[in-house]
This record gives sequence, structure tokens and C-alpha cells, in this order.
Amino acid sequence: MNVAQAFSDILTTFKRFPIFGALAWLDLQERYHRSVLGPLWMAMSLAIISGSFGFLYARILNIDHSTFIPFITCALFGWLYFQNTMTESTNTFIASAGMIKNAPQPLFGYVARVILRNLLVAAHTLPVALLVLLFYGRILDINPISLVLGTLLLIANLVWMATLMGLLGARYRDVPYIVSYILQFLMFVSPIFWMPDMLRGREWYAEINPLYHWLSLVRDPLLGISIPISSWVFSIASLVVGGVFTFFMFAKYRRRIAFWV
Amino acid sequence: MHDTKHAVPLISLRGVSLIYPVLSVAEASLRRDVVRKLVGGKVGRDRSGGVAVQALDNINIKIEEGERVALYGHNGSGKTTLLRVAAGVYHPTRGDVSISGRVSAMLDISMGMSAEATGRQNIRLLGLHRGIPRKDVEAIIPDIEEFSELGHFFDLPIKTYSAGMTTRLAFAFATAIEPDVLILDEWITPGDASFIARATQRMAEHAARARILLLASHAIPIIKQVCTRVIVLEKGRIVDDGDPESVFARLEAA
Repeated sequence: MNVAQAFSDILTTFKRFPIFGALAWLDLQERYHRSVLGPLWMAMSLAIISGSFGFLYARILNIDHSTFIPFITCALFGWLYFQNTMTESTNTFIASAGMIKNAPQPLFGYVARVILRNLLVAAHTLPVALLVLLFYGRILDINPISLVLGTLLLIANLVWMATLMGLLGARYRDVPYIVSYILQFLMFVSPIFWMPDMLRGREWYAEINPLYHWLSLVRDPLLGISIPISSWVFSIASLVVGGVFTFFMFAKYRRRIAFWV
Repeated sequence: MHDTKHAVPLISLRGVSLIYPVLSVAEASLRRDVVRKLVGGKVGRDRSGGVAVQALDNINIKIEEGERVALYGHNGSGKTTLLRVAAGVYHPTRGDVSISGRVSAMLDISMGMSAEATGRQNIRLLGLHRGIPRKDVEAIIPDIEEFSELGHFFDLPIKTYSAGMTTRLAFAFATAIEPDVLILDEWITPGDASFIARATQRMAEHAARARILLLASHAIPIIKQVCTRVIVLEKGRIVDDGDPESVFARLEAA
């Protein structure tokens, strides 16, 4: 395990950030190159799901759609960003295998590539959330400071998770399937299609789900709700614990990535 | 470890050994690993795989400015692994590597290129990945376009290329960026006679600028023509090291 080299790897990534940003951009260009909808696909996906689920579940749960639809749209915006990043993260190093094996660059840079690429995609879907808020007259409720801080905290958590998933995915080939299965399940037990205050009182089994808190970081500021203290605390704690653990995993296995991919 | 400024070029390997894991399909399952650990190793007794390969064994080499070194040996002797260590892409399990100078390596035919992108776009991608400023990359594109002789294929996706065409493109790029250290793995294999002649000429021109050339090849005539030193590898160990004429004479006599 070489902590100094891992540290240097991460620092060099920051120094060479433009390289990985450019790669993320090129990734998207290539992805949309022969597609019909291109970048609109994600935005439409958000609009259609929140529209259809929104109206239907508003009726089922007997909640007014002017409350429910903004909620579901903002929650889904956060969820889709999380889901896409996690799905792609298992391939972080595998997808860059050609580059890894041909010229030396800091391996953390490929994590940066995945994170940035998915941020770009999320940026495409944000207008949908904003339009919905505008339509329901809630656009001025947005809390910009909380939104920025909350989003940064979510991104920071995704950075360590993407690194860890990338390592696992490079070493074990069934990880993408495991992650995809877990994500499907998480979508239902997380407050996306249901609102947290529908639970009678504080329910530990809902709050034990990290997404209960991580989704708050993005959804609540958009809705003009303050992010619960418990969610701030949880998200910072998860960043510290997850970040430190992943850093040591990265330090330990970094040199093997070139052989695993 | 890697000095990218234009310092005096040098490659130094001291006591370098490399053992790498070969993961069989059975090994590469997280589920299997978790189950095995939970039941204390009893499940999975029929663990196939778990193979580790000693690719390099106590390698000591110093290559200095002006040297043109060929690695010679059977397939599987460790040539490619050694080149990858020299290029900084593989890290040794033991020993030290130190390299100074700007390195350009052609380690496999893909170079990390993208199949859907065109030849031109891939040159930009390769330049970007190696941290070469955009305008420097644009400046070398005409030379690459001309040397690779791809014609209008230069602007078609490289998935339409033959192996020979991809090799010409990769080789053209690797040599065009004026490296201090040029590392090439079996670069002429998919090439035809005319390409081999032109490539050898281009290499001689590059090598003449007193930098370092390190290549792996089976082509004895070309090694004799281009290289000043041959290192023979067998099963990851160095078994001979000297000037081409003497080394090949000894190999022939054996």
C-alpha cells in the first residue's frame, strides 16, 4: 500500500483536470453522435416519469398534484443523477482500459471523468425540474446556497463511491449486476415516489437508507425546504468514513488496476 | 519517478520483478469471494485459476542517451511487460524504475484510441490523453496524415481500418511527437514491406537525434540495422546483453 503515491495520484488529477474534463465532454459527444434524441433523452426521461408517476400517484395517495409533482420531479432529478453515476461507476476503469494500458496518467483522473460526464448529463435534466417549479409557481422558493452546498456534498459522496465501485468493478465482473439490482430496489425504498412526511413519525428503517439523506441534499433546496440537520450530519459522516476507507482501498489496489482491466 | 521535462533521457530499472494476477472467470466473482470468506474457505475448493505469473525476475538495466536498445526473446519472455514497466503503465511488484525525458510509447495497436472516432479525431484524442497542448497536436497532424498514407481513410472511423492501417497511424503519432524516449512493441508486425522500409527510415531519423529508443522485435535484420544494443529475455530474466552482432552470433551458436 502506498499512501504517498495515492495522494500524488489524486493531486496530479487536480493539476491535469482539463484533460479529464475534455475526455468527459468527448465521451458525451461520442455517445450522442448517432443518436436521434441525443442529450434530450435524459431530460425527456425525467419529464415523462415524473409526469406519469406524478399524476397517478397523486391520485392514489390522495395528495394534490401541485404539491406532489414538484416533489417527485426534484427527487427524481437527484435520483437520476445518482443512479446514472453509480451505474457507470462500476466501469470507471474498465471503460478506460485502453488509455490506462497505453500511457501513464493518474488513475483518479478516470474517476473524475465519470463524475464530470454525469454532471454534464444532470445539467441537461435540470431545466426540466426548473420548468416544473416555474409552472407551479415555486421557482422563487429555491434556496440557492443550500442547493449549491447540498449538491457539492452529494457530489463529494459520489466521488468516493465511484472510486470504490470502479475498483470493485475492475476486480469482480459481477459487480455491475449487483449494483444495478441494488439501485432498482433503492428506487422504491427511497423518498422519490413518496414524501418523507407521509411516514408517521421518524421511521428508522427509512432513515437508515443513505439515499433518504443524500436525496434531501438536492431535492429539498429546490423545493424551498430546509435540509434536515440529520441529513447534513449523515452526509458529512458518510463522506468522511467512506472517503477515508476508499482512499486506503485506492492506495492498496491502485497498482493492480492496470492488470485487472 | 517520471520526469516529463526535457531532462537528459534515461531509463533505469533496478531489481525489478513483476508478478501479475491472472484472474480466471471463477476468480472474478464477488459473490464467490464473499461466500468463500464467509464459510472459511471450504466452499470453492475447486478454485480454478488463482494463477499469478512471474513476468519479470530481477531485471537490472540502465539505458542512457543515444542508446537504441532492442528486447529480443520468445513470445512470453517478458518483452511487452518490460516495455510497459518502462513506459510507466505497469508498476513492478519489487524494485525501482526511474525514467527521465518525455516518453512516447506504442504498446499495443489500439494506443487507447476510440473505434468510433476518425483517424484525425483519434490523433487529437491521443494528444489530449498524453497532455500535449492542442496547438502542438494540430501542428503535427499534417505530418501524421502524410506519413500514414491513409488517404481519405484519415477522416473515417478507425473501426474501418485494417490492422496495418491502424499500425501506420499509431506509429506515425508515436514518432511525430518528438519524444526523448521512444518505446515500441513489435511495431512492424502488421506492416507491409514498403511500410517497414519507411518506418525503419523514420526511426533511424529519430534515433539519430541522440535520444533513447527501446523496442521489442523479432526482426533480426532490422534490429541489426537500427539498434546499438540487444537485451535477450527468457522467462522474465535477462540472459544476454550486448551489441547486436555479438549477441546474435552467440544465439546462433547456442
